[in-house]
Amino acid sequence: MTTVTVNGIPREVSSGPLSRLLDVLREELGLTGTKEGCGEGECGSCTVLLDGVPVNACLVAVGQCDGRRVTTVEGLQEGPDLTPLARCLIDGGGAQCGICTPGMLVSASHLLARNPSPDEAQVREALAGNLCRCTGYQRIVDSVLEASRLLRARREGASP
Amino acid sequence: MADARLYVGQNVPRVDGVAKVTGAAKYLDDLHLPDMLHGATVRSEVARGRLTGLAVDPWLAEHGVTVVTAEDVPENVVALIEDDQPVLVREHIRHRYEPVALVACERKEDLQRALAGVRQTVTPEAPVLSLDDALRAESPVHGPDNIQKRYRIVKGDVDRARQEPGLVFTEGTYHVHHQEHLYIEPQGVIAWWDASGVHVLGSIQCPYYVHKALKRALKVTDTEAHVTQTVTGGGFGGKEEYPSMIALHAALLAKKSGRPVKVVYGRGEDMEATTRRHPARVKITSGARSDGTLAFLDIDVLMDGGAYVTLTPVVLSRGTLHATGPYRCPDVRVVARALATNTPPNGAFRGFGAPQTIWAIERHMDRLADQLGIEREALRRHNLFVEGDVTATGQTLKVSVGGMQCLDAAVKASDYYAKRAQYASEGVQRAADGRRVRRGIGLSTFFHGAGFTGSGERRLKGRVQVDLEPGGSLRVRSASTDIGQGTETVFAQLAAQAARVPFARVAVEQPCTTHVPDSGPTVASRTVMVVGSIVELAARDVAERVRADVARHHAVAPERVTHGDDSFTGPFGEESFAVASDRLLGREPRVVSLRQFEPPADVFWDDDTYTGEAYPAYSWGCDIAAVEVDVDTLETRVTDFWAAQDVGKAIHPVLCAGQVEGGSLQAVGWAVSEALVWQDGAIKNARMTNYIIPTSLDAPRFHTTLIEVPYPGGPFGAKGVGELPMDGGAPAVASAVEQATGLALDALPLLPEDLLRAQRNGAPQ
Amino acid sequence: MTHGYVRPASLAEALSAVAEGVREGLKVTPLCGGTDWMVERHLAPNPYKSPEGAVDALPPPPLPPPDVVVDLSAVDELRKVELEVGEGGRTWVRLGAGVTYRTLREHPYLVEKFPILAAMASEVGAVQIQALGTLGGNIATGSPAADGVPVLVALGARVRLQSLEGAREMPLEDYYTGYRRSVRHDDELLESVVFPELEAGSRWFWRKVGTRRAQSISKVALASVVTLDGGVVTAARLAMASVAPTVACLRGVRAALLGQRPEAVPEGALLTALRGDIAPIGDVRSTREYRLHVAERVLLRMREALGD
Repeated sequence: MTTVTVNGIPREVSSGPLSRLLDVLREELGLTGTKEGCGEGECGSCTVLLDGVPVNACLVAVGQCDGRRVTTVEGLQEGPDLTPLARCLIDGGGAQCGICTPGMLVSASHLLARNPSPDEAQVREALAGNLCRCTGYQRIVDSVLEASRLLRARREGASP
Repeated sequence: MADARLYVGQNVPRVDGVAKVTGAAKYLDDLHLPDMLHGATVRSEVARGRLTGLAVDPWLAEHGVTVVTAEDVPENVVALIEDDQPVLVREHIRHRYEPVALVACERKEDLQRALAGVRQTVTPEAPVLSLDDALRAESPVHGPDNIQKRYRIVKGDVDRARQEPGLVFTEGTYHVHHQEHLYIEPQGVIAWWDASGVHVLGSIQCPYYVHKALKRALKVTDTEAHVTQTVTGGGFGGKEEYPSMIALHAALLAKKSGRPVKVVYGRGEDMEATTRRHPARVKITSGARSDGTLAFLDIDVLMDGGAYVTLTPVVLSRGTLHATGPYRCPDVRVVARALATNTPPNGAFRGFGAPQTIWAIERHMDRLADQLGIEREALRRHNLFVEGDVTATGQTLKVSVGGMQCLDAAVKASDYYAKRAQYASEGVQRAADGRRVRRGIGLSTFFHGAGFTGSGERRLKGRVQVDLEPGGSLRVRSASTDIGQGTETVFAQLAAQAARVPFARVAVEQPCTTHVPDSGPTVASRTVMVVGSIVELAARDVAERVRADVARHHAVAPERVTHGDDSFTGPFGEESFAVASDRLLGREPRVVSLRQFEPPADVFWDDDTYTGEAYPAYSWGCDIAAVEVDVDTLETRVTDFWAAQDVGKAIHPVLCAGQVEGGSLQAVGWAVSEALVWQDGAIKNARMTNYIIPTSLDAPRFHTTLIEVPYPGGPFGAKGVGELPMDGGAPAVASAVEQATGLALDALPLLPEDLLRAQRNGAPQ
Repeated sequence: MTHGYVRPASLAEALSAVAEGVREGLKVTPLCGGTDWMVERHLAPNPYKSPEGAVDALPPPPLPPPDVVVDLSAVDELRKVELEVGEGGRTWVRLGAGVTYRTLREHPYLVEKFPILAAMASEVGAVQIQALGTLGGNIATGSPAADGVPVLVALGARVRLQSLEGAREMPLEDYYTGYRRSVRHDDELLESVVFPELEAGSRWFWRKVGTRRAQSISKVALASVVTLDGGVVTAARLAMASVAPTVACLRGVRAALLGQRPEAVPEGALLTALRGDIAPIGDVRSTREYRLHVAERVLLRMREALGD
């Protein structure tokens, strides 16, 4: 039996250790926010955080996650209100069909956690593993930059 | 703002936004029904042949696998235009990925075993795999001559126009290649049967297309077929006609097994079996006066329709009607043919035939400009349609002709002339990452007809219903699907504004053929302009009914009741919309308006001669691309992209610009990196790793300008925007690449390998 | 397909698991980052399907025997970054096979001393792949399009193979015997690579020409470390990806450069040497013609950079 802490909750996984983390999340744990677009680590729709680092859940065997932490898009929410990043993606036109959006959010939230003031090139690099066919990326990139401004303003407001 | 409740033109939060950014939105593969089986498709293994036997391994029966073959299909046809495509092959295999049989199992893990257990015996035949093979028609795939459809547009007399002395003749042949939609959510449906008939739930652009296909193949009635769209992860035309096929497959498996069946394609299967953009070859001969005035255009269009007719006649039609580009020309002849080949049917893809012919005319305009020694922008400006001009079909452009504004805006925003001059004079540059590059800038101008061609909308009679609901709420019922473009949000904006109720009180019903009327398909840049106008009408109707009832209740003349924002005023004072509508609903439980599209009265179109008003309105655009081409590797990087596009009215500017940018990037990808590799009718790179769409690092910085020259027939002046952005990107990039490399390429794609080949072959400089 | 699976917690346990599997006649698959293997497994051709041409043959062929996967993700020793003192007092760095591309981009010592590693790592896939993919996996998979291998060859890396019987080390240049084939025995694990700090006067060069700017497999990639003394090449290691059945060690080019001023080596001689070192083919990602052209251009740019 594999034990994985998913979105803060320890879960016992009965799927075999070589099952893809993606399938375990979606089928066994019912966390369908993580999407499958290609099954080969190319589209990034299945991006989750493994011990805080973005990985493609389609490339990870769940056995490799034993004793580790996984965060999915469902785990990014901090409360009833949308996170600034989520809000900015809606308002900025960063989500169209939405199928790449969970993966984008996971990648972008990791970027902002490590680098509160990214420039456009850094945002583009951080999202380069998340393919989008709808937006042309500009609005996603701009939404992430806007979220970084909001988060900085919030942090500065909180610490006088 | 004078009116606090103006929604049109405002960037309201998209209604499906929260579900999409929290992971809560349920796409098809996120759904699971009790007792559901998983289905999969046995496909042909040759591009052409005769299926002489199907053997089923006993393992399948022993393990309770449901198997469906052609014998199980009540009427073996996927209904569309010509009804030539079977649901499952009975005898003749016409492309490499045809469905031959279906299997369904309890466990997904068993599908491969089940698929391998259905063995085909096939006598291969020589396939027709290219346009030239198809033209020779030695062993036709379709009819006696392989021609699926032909059109002819004649304006004036090209042969006479040729005689004018002093004309400069220009001739060129231009090619475009296939393109995969590559929506990130692969196709999928769930089907089941119950006492009310057959149900299909899926990632679907056009629920009523599926409804029609179910009725025909399964021999069920109108009320026995129920098709519902789930949240859809992109379509771009790819989920227009193909879902009928996959829905029929799931429904057949569900019928035979008596259980719900889910069929979801893997990426490879999706890329192989579903539709893609038609390749085309377009030959253009033109004559122009020395000042650049176009005297005649003689255009021959060939498109590869693939193995079945599907939507090819309509795609070819749109390609034909856009073949002259947005240019004034007195004498025009366009001859267009679609040919059948033993490749999977090509189908709807954003732009729908227009990007193919616009590629050709735009490259041709560049040739012509160079030949005449006129700046490329100036040649376009000289010939660009303006109000009062007459198109190739004889349509006088009366209103909403924004091409020139687009050209002006894009040229100014990009500083086109300064860059063009600088890039022409400068040498090799060091790019930010140290590579040696040459730079270039190029432009294109284009137009795109919004709505169905000619009498299409008149014939179709798209319908929308708006219901009044408690608390002064509205519910919009339409079959137009939101596949990412933001239809739900825009329809809610239109209804809220038309009925003067708060946006938050408008709900948009999930498209289900049982609960929404047939508004026509979600295609042809018609959703906002055509269906949106019906939404507006129906919402106004409902509000009028409430107003009339206020007058009745207070016993005043209706004209003395003023409908303000979410309220009515009159001699009786003020009353809220909610109170008034609840009172009306108390008397009349059903207050709805079902409206039908009413085409403008003065529209004339003749399908036989292809003359008249081809489209009620055109959207216009100018794209300008700046590129860096690596002098060592010939890799093209599009660094900046200026798009100025006339959409009539942007109902939601952020969503609208999102359409422009997303469509433009698809065009850029089509030009510089996307290419299918074929071998014997099979696709060798049906994987995201090897079919190269742009990442965020490949995408240019977009500079988008929305131009609004209102079209009175559209809601609040809006025209279509869905397809327009796909039209101009590739030729703008090619023009820029030409400046950077000196290579005048007339064939897409412009992969580094293609540029190298051209360089080696001494392509014209 | 069913797989045996073990996830040892130490190198010793891992070696035992491998040895046991081999003893039992199983196919042992060491699993590191999984970025290749998980894809191959998921997208493998239908294993039940008859070979082409035998479509009506019943029943299906038997499946290959189940294999055993030795998951190395819990073996901390494989993630080590250690310094050693080598001959002549030179500092060598030893990287465990499980070191990821992410580590190559973030480890302060590596970033400072081996910018070529960070440059290469930043062009592998994108951040998600960089977090999973490992040097050991890159070497062991043996793809001719590997990004890590040419850089390690250029750095003069040696590979340590370890089994219960002991360890052996060899130059990475000598590791491959053919397309996805190597000298590694079934009971050996690729434990680490080790390479020296750059000598004074060394110049590194990395250029990947791929299908796009991220999530890209190379069409051609060149890595080199060239040492100059008074403008004369005293040492050179060059390797190229995607131009031969294995990552190509450009020995002919090295010979042409050694003892010469780079700018004095005639272009013709350099390119002739290159053509002797590589054998590109056309495939779904590029053409033979293009690969040859780019290999030549990139090599000339490398030479040019030596003069900068």
